[in-house]
Amino acid sequence: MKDGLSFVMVMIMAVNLIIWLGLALYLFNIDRRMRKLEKKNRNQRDIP
Amino acid sequence: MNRDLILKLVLVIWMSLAILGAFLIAEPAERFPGETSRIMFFHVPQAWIATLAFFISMISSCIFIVKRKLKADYMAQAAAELGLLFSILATITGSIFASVTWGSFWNWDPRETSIVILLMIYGAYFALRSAIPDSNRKRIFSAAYSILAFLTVPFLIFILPRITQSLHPEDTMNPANPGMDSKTLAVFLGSLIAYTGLFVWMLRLKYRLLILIESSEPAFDFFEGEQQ
Repeated sequence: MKDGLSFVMVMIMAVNLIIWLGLALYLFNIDRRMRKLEKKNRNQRDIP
Repeated sequence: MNRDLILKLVLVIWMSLAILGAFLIAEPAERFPGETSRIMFFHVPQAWIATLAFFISMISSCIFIVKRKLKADYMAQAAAELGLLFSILATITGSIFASVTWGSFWNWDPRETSIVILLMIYGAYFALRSAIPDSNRKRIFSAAYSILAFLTVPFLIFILPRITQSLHPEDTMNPANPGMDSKTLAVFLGSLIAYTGLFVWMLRLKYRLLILIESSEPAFDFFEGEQQ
């Protein structure tokens, strides 16, 4: 760790990382759900 | 593992490294109090993404006007939504910087005033979209509005803050500034790339969502109270 990085800055960095990883997880989840819906939609359209 | 998933995982790692780099590698700029200059690694990419998103919205609107392709309208809507989101984020991070360096969260600086006007212009885009019940008219009007709205973007973001006296830092925050050391510049460019990747991911999600909504259920006409 760089010298002089205060405890507050370390906390801000940690919060930033947590927000980013949380957002990434959320986007992965939405992506997965949407893929399922798209698949379901395609299958419904394929039924004559 | 497919290519799409690998790219997303690379983005997750890249953005995490950009965040770590912003705090652990980059040196704080000398002209700014304490560690405030570190906000540049988040604020500037957010502003850049907002401009890019509004540009994509304008291009998609032009395509919709010329070719009348529904997908172009979805892209315009998705890009405008993300542009608005990133503008709000840039305003929030800018206010945090302002509170430390200028003494208060809001100072009605030309840069702050221009971003408020921009937020109102693109807020009106969504008001317009929700105000017109007829789908075709809504798409045409909002495409025309999006093109006109973008004409104000270069003026509000690049010209107005530069022709007036502003507290907003220019040279230190400018990536082309030769005064920025190589480590800081590398982190800054890394952050720009990471934010662009995040924007592409979110844009694709929103675009797919709009297509899914349109294809899965017929639009409900609020004013007529029946399915179109």
